[in-house]
Amino acid sequence: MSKILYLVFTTCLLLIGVSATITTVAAAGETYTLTTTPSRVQETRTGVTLTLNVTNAIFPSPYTFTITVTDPARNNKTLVKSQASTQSSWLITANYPNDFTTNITLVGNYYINVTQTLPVVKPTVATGTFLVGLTDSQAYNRTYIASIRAFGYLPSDNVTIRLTRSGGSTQGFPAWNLTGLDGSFLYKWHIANNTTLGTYNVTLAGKNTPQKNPRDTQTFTVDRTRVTIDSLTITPTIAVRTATVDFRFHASYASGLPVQSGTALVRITDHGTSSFSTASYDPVQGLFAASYKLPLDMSAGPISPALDVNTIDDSYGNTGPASIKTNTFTVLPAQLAVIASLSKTSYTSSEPVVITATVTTPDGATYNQGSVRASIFNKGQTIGNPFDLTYDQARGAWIGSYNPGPKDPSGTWTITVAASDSYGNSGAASILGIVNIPSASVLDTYSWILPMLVAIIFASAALVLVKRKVASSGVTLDVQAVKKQADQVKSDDFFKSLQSQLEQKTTKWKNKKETQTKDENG
Amino acid sequence: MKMARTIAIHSFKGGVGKSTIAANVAVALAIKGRRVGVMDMDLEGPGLHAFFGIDPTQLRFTINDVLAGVAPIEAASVRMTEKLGLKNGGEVYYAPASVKISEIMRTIKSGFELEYFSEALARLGNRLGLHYILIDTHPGIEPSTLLAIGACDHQIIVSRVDQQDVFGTSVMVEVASTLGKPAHLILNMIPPRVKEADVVKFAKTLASHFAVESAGWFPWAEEVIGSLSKSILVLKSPRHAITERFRHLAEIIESFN
Repeated sequence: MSKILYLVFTTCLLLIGVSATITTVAAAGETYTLTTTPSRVQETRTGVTLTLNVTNAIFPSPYTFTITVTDPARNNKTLVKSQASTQSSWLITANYPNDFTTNITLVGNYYINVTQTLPVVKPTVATGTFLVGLTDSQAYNRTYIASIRAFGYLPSDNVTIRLTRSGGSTQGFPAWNLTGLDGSFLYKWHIANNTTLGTYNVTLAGKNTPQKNPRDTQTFTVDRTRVTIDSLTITPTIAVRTATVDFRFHASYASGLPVQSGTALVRITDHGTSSFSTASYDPVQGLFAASYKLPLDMSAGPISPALDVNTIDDSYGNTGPASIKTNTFTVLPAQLAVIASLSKTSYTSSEPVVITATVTTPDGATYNQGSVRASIFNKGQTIGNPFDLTYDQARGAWIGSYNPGPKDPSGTWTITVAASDSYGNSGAASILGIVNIPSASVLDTYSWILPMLVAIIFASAALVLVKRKVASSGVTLDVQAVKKQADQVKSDDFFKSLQSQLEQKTTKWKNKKETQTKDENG
Repeated sequence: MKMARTIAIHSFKGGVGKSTIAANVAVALAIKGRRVGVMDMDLEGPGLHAFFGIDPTQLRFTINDVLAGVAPIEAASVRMTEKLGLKNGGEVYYAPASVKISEIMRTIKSGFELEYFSEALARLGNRLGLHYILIDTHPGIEPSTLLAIGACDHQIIVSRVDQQDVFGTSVMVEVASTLGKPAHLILNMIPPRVKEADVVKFAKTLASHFAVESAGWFPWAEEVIGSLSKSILVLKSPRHAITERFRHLAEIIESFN
């Protein structure tokens, strides 16, 4: 870790071109400090700024210095700089190679020596050094671009670039490129997300240019790159149990390029236990996606899935995120869909009322756990005791029955079937059945009256029901609740805006029609 | 030229067969010689492309581009006639929605304007000489659904006979009614044990409480479910009983005033 930090730190220093204080040589009275900015450059014309800072200087007095730069081939270039001292501190600057009428064409260390000739002769008052390389950095992370630049070749020369690692060649190399008319050379190496890690050696050689001494060669390192994600998106943000929740996120390398391979683990923790959903890259959507089906016993309330540190891997060892990424969605209990039916719609006292119910979870799966109970009502009064339905595996349905007793009232019975479990998932449905409990004496004496009574009772019950509820095929509908819900939609700003736009459209259309009619009538 | 009749196909819940109905009825109308546009307005979860065997990522423009104002609607419409093998003069044009999350989010965030969308529909109808434009919407009640209700002449609302769905469907009908748009109900995926008489009765009962007309019902059909939304039954099985029901629905649509 400390090595990585050091590498990152030094890389940053080199990339941003921090000034480096090299050496301070103090003479009697004056103090001399030489700095080079930047401390490392590529072979170029722009070069390095050398700054000599003199303090405790004599003034007024003329000062003259001789600055000598020795290149890696041990050739010296000299520059004489003078300064009229009018205060105790001042600076002298020079640019290498421009002020020395030369170019930087060799890689390696350049040494600087400063001597003073006025007001008094002093041997070396300051020394310094700067480094010249071929690449714009000495350490790269995958997916970045290594810019290889050189100078001092013949115009339009064909330069071969060799890139090796541990003595072996690198895919795509050797490569070549032509120099410019000024003898400059540039090659950009796009470091792939799966480039082998390690120390690389780059060497340049021109076809017609005489070989440089020292040769244009340099090493640099390639390390893994960090994967970052923007945010973890969860759809929907409110989901009922058994629904499938989708997790999506965009992943990028530190260079900004998108990550288009690999997997990530999305952690979902509930009841103190973590389960993981694997997100993989979806090339159609251009993002990472995973799904998670909410179990029936999942805790209701907010749940925060997370992408933990370094749980995304692009398959090549580039990992992320550096810090945990999380988001929250809300789990609601499942509303169980109950469809209840009766074997018949009309019964007599001797026949059991058989109730069959299919119960499904919101995802459409058959619900065969928890309990399903039926309650029977007539005119607000409960008939018998609520009783359990049992699950019939073969029929895939819950079944139960009630035997009407001779004292049970005839008429329209409302049978409510309710499914529930200890996790709070629930659902219910009501169905109607006409039950005829015949009385022997009534049957004998007024056999024609009973059907009429049943009809009247049913009609009355139906009349009461339609005012509020519609029921058929095991589905009940609260008309008032529908109207109330619709009113909520109608009070929404978007709806109002739409309604207003429609009215305007209608008015516009009417006006247009009227104008047309007037025109037609002359 | 007569304006294209626009019909939005809605549902309160997802997975009730809305896209299946939209694709099959579009083709059924085309087989009868009609020129039909079918548009995927399920901007948050488009799926109609699967029926037509189209990869929306390969298309230059989608409905999202139209709503964003960067493409005319006809540029986002794909002529499907040859691909579907229609040879009697009928035409099907398919207008896909983007499956790219970024574009979906852009469209949802950019908002919806009725006049702009209505004009886009009119333009599509005029440019392509369409008789009908069917719009497959996103399930539920939300801005894109309300926009489709507001912009279309007719609404077809697809529902299963299920407690939640019937409730939500009734709310949709009530909302459409407030906007003065006629609504037609299709009960779909009716379980085999439910008798036709009960379904008809149920549809009539709903119609007596809300401003909705029954446009038929479809039984649960393994063949339709088993096709995994990848084929059009009307073409694949022209003699299937469900195909006959799609044809009947096409006739009902032709009778819309």
